[in-house]
Amino acid sequence: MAIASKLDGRGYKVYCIVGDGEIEEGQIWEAMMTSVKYKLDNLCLIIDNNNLQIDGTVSEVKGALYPLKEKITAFGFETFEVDGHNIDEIIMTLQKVKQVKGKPSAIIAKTIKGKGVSFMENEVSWHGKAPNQEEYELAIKELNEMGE
Amino acid sequence: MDLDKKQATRQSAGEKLTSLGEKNSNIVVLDADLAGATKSNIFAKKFPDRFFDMGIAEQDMIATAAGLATCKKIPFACSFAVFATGRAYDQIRNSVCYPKLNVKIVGSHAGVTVGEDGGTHQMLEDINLMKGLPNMIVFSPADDLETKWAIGEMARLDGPAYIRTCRLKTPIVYDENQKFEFGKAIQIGNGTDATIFATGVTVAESIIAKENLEKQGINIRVIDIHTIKPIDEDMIIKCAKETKHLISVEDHNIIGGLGSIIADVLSEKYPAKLVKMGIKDEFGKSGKAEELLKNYEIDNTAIEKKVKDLI
Repeated sequence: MAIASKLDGRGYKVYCIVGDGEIEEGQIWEAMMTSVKYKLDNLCLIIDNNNLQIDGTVSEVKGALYPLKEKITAFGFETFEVDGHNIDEIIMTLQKVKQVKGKPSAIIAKTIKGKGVSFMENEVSWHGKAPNQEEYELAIKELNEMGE
Repeated sequence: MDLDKKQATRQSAGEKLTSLGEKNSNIVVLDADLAGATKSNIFAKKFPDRFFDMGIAEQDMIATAAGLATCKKIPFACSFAVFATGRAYDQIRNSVCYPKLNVKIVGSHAGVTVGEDGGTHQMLEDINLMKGLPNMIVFSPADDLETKWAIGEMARLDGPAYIRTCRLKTPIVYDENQKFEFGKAIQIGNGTDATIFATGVTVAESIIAKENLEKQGINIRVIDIHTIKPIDEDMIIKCAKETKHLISVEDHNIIGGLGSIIADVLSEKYPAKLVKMGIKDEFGKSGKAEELLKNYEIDNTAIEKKVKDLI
């Protein structure tokens, strides 16, 4: 999509959100090389780095993914790190990304899986599970309280 | 058929992509470090801005083609059949066929006729892999004109499509008056002693066998299945009704290839015995293409013998 934007001179930007477990796949790193080769400064990769995947923490399952920022920078990206729960910081960083020329950008967003719901936070068992009615109501109550 | 004039279908594919590119600026071509061998380099020389060499990264090539297709481009992703369909199967399944994106995959160097490169490079399972995917169209052309027609059809039809081309130079089967129709097999001859269903390089071999058999008073017909999916059910049933014996011959594993597809149709619509010739559930090996066709018993001599054995 980012290549098509350049081909057609349409000038739109592409934001691609991936999980930290997902980027253990080789395809992601193939795509990173392609993005650098074609100088896709209209592409911004956003990595949701909560350090959890289905079999456990990313550090345990495939700790060699770290140090992540250094790896992505070495691939040729302009790389940023943000607190993924701080909206102001995210907006500020996206503004910086717009100034990057000649290469793609990556934002590593440090996050906590299930943040704001006490019984879900950092619990990998919630990776692909829906809450029951009781859990749902409790979760919404906690999120509403946090929002106030 | 002109036995003396030969051309590899990979060459025809490269030439047709280039002429299509002249007419339609949405045609883009991707390759994975094999542009010289797949002949996508013909397009690359003419349209460098619309050609993308992804390096040895087939998964990213298919995913990038999918992204381009979402932006109204018509991407043709080229590599050897073994890499294009094998290494990137998941991307073809989930990023191309599932969302039904307009991605075209050109798998060259299919079958044992790759020759010297040997078993790792001789793709004998690509028809099986591609035909099993919902939304996928599969072409397997026999000669120059048919390949050019099929590439044109791929550009014309909306949605995922795969074409299998070959390295070996094979005879020109058709002249310029030949009509091709999507999903309609071509009948060569009216013999009723047997039907040979063939595809790709085995079409010319079957025609040679047919001509040799005619001299011995045995009259068969050859059915060129250029569109593997959707398969021409009517033609299969017609031949089952009209001829005494049915044989399929392919440069592909007999499990999951042309023969299996025909057997599927027969078992449900018109039960009849089918003799399957092809690679008998094994890998290829290094050798000269012609020697390998003989060795795996899919050349004209083997076809001729099989017909005589049956009659």
